[in-house]
Amino acid sequence: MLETLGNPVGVGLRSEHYPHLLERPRTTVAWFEAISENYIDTAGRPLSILEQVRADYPVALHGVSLSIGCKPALGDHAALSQFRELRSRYLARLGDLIRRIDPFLVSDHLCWTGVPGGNAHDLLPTPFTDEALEWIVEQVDTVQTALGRRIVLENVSSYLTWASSTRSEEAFLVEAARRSGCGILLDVNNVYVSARNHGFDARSYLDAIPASLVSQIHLAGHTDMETHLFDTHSAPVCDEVWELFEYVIGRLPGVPVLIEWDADIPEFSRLEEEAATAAAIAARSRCRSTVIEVGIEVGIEVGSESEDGLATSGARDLP
Amino acid sequence: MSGRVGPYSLAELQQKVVTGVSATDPWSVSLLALVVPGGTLDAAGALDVYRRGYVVRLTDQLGEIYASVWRVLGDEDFFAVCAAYIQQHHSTSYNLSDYGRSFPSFLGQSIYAQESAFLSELGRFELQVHDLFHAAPHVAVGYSELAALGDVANLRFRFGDAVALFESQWAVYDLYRHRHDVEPPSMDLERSQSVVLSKQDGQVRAYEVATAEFAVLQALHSGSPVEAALGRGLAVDPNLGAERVGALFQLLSRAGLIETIGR
Repeated sequence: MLETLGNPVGVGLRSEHYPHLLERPRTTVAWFEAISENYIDTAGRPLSILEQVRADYPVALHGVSLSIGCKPALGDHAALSQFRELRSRYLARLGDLIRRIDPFLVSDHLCWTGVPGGNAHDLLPTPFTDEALEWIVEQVDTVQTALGRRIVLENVSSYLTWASSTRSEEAFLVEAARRSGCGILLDVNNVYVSARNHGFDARSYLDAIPASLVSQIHLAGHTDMETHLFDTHSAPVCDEVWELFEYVIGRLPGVPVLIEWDADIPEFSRLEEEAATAAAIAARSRCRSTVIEVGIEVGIEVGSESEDGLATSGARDLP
Repeated sequence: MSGRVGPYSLAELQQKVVTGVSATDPWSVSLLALVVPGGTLDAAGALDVYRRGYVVRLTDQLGEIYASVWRVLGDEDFFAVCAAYIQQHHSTSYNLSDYGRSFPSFLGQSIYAQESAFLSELGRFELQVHDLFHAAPHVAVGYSELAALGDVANLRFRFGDAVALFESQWAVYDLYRHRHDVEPPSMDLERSQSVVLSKQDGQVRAYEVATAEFAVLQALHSGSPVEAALGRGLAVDPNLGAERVGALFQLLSRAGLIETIGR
């Protein structure tokens, strides 16, 4: 399943498209990603539809509530007990869904979403400290043991960072993945949004992520709020994010790519257009990477910058 | 190991942020000192991004469950009552879908109930529909199986989990079923209404029944044998004759209410 040198491109499964998908149309998407929480506490129609989609496509499960970075006060026995109970219940339900759907990948976010007794329902940025790292590594191990499989964690968009952080986000993410054995879901839009918000270089961030750790790519649109970029998933992927995607995808052969669109959701055909764009860029980048590799072997000069800002290869001048 | 985030442990910081996100008070100075804001936001503005997101998500969730209440109140009043509810009722579950279960009773105590006394009941109806939508479906006993039973007097019908019986002194089902109408018909809301709700083929369906039939269904639902249940119906309306009982049994199968039959 999804074992290919190409980058299979999928889209998020959203209820707005259920009627269309139930007609089992011929689509150009290779797979679907379902939000785990939309299916783990229901025996309703959504679960039935997910199963029908799963019969025809590979499916990844993407959670928003694992809250892997949540650390209760260890001396507060009531809070700790509540934390363990909530985590255990959540994992039991997620485990049931995994057994039912047999996803090719299970992911969530490198963040925290609440504390015992209160939920913010948002992807809150963790401080990039030793304490947070140790805790997250331990929690990933607990989760992977409970689910009996590797999980994948996504970098989030953020609107603040913590002054106490001792590492960059990318260094924290890589170290967490290396030490825990989890994979990385590299959200290129989130890298761009956070880079713009916090003033770091998005390409340097991408360069710091080893290809061997990347299990999936996310692409989405965002909104410029004038004071900051906001990760709304309500718009097409912007040109700058497409450029970053082209920059990174060439060294990620076979890694599945997903188009996310969660608000102001358009017709399914519009998602297919975005997916086709992603597939074309990935194919173009893959060809260029191959040529560059061959070029390096024979010692020719490669990799100039074209006027449109997209990296091009000198190899096109080869006879 | 660097274990503290400024004056706070990681756990304390997280508690502080979640408490602040679900509040409306100014952010504490000690927390603001730890924030490196993004973009051109200041520290409070950066934290407010998450605070606003919290309110928007919970309001969306209330709007999803209580669409008819929204329709009745209109945008301004609905958002106002949502804001008041959210301020007093913090979300504790990871699942947004769990939020707002006490919204109907909150509506009943709100100023809006003075003008629209049915609001709480309408909310209760919508919550019931929401619950049924997520309830496990069951394979219902069909009419041919029911008809073949012969003497049913001592039989007990076990209803499926995706079945609910709803009654109200207000005609809130009428409001609900016309919630998407651009121009809803005039309705007599001040009449009681008894409704059977059942999920069939993934959709929640509603069937309005008379009070005597509803009394029979309530008795069956609570485990009474058929004869005793019919007695409950007759006590409500002595005119509950064979024709109406026959129609009620057809409804039992048509609405897919019965999961198992026993003695």
